[in-house]
Amino acid sequence: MIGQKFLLNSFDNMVKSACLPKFIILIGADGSGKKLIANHIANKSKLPLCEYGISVDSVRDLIRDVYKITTPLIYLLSGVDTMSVAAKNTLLKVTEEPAKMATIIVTATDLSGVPNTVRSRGQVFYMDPYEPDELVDFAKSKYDVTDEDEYIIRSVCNNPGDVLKLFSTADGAQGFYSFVTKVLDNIASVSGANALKISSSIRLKDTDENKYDLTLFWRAFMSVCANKLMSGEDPLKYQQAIQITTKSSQELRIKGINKQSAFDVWVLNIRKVWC
Amino acid sequence: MELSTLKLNIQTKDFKDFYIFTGLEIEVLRRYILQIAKVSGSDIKNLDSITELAKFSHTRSVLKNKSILVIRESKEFIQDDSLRTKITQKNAFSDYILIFIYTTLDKRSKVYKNYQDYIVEFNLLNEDVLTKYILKDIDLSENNCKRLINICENSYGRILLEIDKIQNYACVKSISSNQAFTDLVAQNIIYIPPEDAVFDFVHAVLTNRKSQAFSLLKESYDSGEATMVLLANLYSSAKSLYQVQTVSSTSNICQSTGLTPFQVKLATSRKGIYKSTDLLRFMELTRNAEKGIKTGEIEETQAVPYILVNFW
Repeated sequence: MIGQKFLLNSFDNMVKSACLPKFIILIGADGSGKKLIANHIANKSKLPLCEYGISVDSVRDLIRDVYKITTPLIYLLSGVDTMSVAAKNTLLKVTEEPAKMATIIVTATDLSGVPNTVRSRGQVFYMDPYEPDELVDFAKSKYDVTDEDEYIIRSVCNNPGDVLKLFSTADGAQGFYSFVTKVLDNIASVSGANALKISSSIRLKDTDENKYDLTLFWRAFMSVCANKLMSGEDPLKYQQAIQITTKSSQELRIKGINKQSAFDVWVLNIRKVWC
Repeated sequence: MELSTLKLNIQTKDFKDFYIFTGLEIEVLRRYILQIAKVSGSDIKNLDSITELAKFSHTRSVLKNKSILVIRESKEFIQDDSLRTKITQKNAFSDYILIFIYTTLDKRSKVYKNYQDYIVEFNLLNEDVLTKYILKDIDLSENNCKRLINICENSYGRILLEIDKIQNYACVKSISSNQAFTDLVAQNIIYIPPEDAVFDFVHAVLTNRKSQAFSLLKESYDSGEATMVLLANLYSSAKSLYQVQTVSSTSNICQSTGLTPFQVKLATSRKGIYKSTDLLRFMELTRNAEKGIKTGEIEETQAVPYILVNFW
């Protein structure tokens, strides 16, 4: 695992001194390595790791199982901040009365999505941010990385998950970046219908394959706009674009938001200020 | 698994232990099951639930004839991993061919990911294929064929029902099939799906016909239409209109806009009536209403009136 030295060291020490918390809450962005940390804890403790879903029925199954086991086990629940209210309330039971043999690790991208009642019963750990060099090393360990790719990774990626998404399409990082610059250069000059068709290359549904990740796309778009802004080229235009894109990316945090319409409105707003 | 592979299985009589059939084209799916039964010399047993499978497990037929066991929309098969593993293991039901039928299957589910070699998708047929099938059964003009296909939303099963209506009506009234079709549509005996009604609603809003807009809105609420579904339809209708109106090349609108032929047809019929700025404003208002419902800023029942009031 790359990075996270402080967090890994903390957990190693806790395991060594047999004071690992019974209920661990890991907070970090998608792709930051929360599951890897959970696997690491399980390996260090020499215990198996069982993963459960976050539906109400899965949490009920978890509660039924934790009180029955006779050998220590580590349980993992991923994405607890996206659980339904009923599932969160069901989870309270196992956090209020911790099982002797079970250590429960829950992961979330946003601590505010974890109810206070659950939060107060666990110990919260935050994933450390990744250094750009660490991400480049990670990319080099998996892919053939050129200097241009390295520049793109440093501009756009925040964690190993982002690196994986960047290289997940057939044309790789450079294809992705040239798509972003092409959109930036042409979004205001093409017809409305063609502008809205940009979304066909963006991954807006979980089942879309070989398409560019939306968050990465917007981040790259803002990065290119920021470069143009700093070079003094039409600063108002690019500043407005950054504002519009920032606002649109924040909307992705709303649970159940329609990504297609969010992207369409972003396209229309950019065209409004640039046309 | 491709449909061609299933056809090959039928031709060579080399069937898998189980299949998962999914898709909206129910009639073609049904005919494939009948064909499998015919070729394999099996009878078809429709089971009410997956629990009934237990009585067929590890049994042997004296007659050595396979049976087809059909289970529809079984939630247990999708959700229960251990049950699914038991059912799908080799020789669990050696004298039977299991067919699980689902109208839709979540592509993110474990079933979809792990059983791709057993899943056959029966998607709706395209216009050309359906026209050929229609003309085999009934003598309709090309325009009427296209219209029938659009009305039935490319569902072959529904087309067959409507053909039956047309044939009976034509026979009783002693008129041609084309005339019968026109009469049945005019009398609303052939049901036109609500997508036209959504375009009518968008048309009423964009042309400032307030009473018609509210009347259509009331109709959609009375028919039990969910607000989010209505908002999604309104948004996609306005977007289709905008895309068709602003497309640079009219030679292949479907490819240029990514819309289906049906959406292009509906939007093209109203091309040039609305200002692009009005369409954009309508799209933004619809989107803001949808976002407002999800963030709790707008009450769901007030979302569509909110759009109308802000638009006018």
